[in-house]
Amino acid sequence: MNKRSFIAAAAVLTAVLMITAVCAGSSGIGLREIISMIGNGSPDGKTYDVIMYIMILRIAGAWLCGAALAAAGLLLQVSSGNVLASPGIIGVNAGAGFFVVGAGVLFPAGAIYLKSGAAFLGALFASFLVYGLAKKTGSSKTTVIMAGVALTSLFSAGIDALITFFPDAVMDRTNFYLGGFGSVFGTSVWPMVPVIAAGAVIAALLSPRLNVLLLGDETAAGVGLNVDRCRFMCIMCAALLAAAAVSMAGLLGFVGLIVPHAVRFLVGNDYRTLVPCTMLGGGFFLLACDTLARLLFAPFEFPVGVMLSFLGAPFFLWLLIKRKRRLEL
Amino acid sequence: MIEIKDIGIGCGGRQILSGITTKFADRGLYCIIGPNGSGKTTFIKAIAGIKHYSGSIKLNGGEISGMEQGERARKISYLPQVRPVPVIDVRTLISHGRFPHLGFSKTMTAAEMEIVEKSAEMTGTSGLLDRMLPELSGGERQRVYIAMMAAQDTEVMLLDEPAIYLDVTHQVELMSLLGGLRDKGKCIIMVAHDLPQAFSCADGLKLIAGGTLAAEGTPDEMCGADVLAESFGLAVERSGNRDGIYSYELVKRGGVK
Repeated sequence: MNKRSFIAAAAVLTAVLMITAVCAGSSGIGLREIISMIGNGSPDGKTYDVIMYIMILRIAGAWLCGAALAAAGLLLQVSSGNVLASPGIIGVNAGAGFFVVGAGVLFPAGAIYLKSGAAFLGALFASFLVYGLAKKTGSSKTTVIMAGVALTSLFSAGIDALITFFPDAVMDRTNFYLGGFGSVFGTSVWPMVPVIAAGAVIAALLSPRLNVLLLGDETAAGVGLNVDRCRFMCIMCAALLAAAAVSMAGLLGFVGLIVPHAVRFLVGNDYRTLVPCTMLGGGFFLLACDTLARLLFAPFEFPVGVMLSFLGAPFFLWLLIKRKRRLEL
Repeated sequence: MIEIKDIGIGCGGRQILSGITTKFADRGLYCIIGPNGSGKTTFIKAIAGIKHYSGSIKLNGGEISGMEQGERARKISYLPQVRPVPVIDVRTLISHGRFPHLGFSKTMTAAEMEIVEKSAEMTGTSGLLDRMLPELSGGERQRVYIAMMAAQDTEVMLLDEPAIYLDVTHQVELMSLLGGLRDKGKCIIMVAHDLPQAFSCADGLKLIAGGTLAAEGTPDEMCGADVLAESFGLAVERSGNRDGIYSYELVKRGGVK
């Protein structure tokens, strides 16, 4: 599958999905109502309110989170040279979550920006801690995962402890743990648009350099890549993207691990293609999961984090078996 | 010309190399020889600019450690001994040789792609351009990496044991490929383990032993050197066999002709 057909397919599927997401489920809005609303151009009424204040927000939130987490996973995989790296596994999400809960405890009335800022600091802190540990012990490829798993459990314990002592630190506990978009607000979604856009631009600028990084540190340095700086930028960018996602939707795992590999299977190993395709794929995937999670047991909502695993894992295993390939970067 | 003056390199508190002073001409094929663990790899890494050193290494008067990465990579290319095998096609690999020549956006133009094709032609890898790197044999893989270095088009090419793991046929082929690049005016510096091969192909030899430059010279000057016998426990002599692939052979230390 080449870059163009992937992008076209992802765009069409995402558009269809977005319309489905608006129409289906407990909102009770039909396609006809949307068309007539656009036709009338009248910004009033219940339909308009539901679409503008609830549906678009939720769709945008899910899509942005998926795109951000998938890109963060891609960047972490290539910068650590490890196929298992992802913001959920090496402790970046947990670090961001811990700082978010911590900020909630310290400043209960703090603004939403505080939460986002704390998430970024936590994500950054966790990623540099993991890389620092891996570098200090010398061997980076396996150690980075082991250190990450240890850090994840440490941060999770921290989150649990804080929530035990301060149950009000997080508004919706289950949503925060499993990750979800049931309680996204305009104030938590829209400020993340420029952040994620900035992350996407940085990732796109990094992409030709990531292609060279694949050759290994010494060969890459031989053709003139500043390896340390490239890796540093990768981690910063991944932390930025993961933090934006965590501050919106809590601890969503899995997207960052699976989507980059699935997209790599489909479009190949050129990061100039992989960066945009991974973001489109991640956005589509998370939006699909969120929509299904809403519809499947409507009017009850299924946790999207659980849905992610139910849908993503079999698809990924199918890709593995069909391609008969090992995971490679 | 590369001028090396009194360089020393330490690693984790241990001194690996010290007091090396030598020169490499603009054009020539140089082999760095020496026993295992003597610091040969460290030596060429320092010239490649990816290992900190004390003292001075100057390329045409410019200090290597003072060069910006991209500028250095336009003058010196380096092929490490051990490297991962990414899942990319050969054309992509060779085009990475153009990396230091590209602007900030790193876009390959048609002219750049032409250089890639030419480099593939020069190294006899045109037929491999659409193959994936992991599918290639060891010999093919080594050739495409040298094609990448050719595309990088630097005056100095550093190679760390490029012939290792290759069968004899491919080793001979590789050495003639490097000889051809030397004839085009490159300065090629490689670490070599196979002494008859190094003596037969090189214009100049540098023997590194015990963390210092133990001897240097042309193959004929070097083969009688006592220090060679001290380092390896054997000697190298001109071979009498006219049909030999290599014009030098290993003999037992103190062996009689």
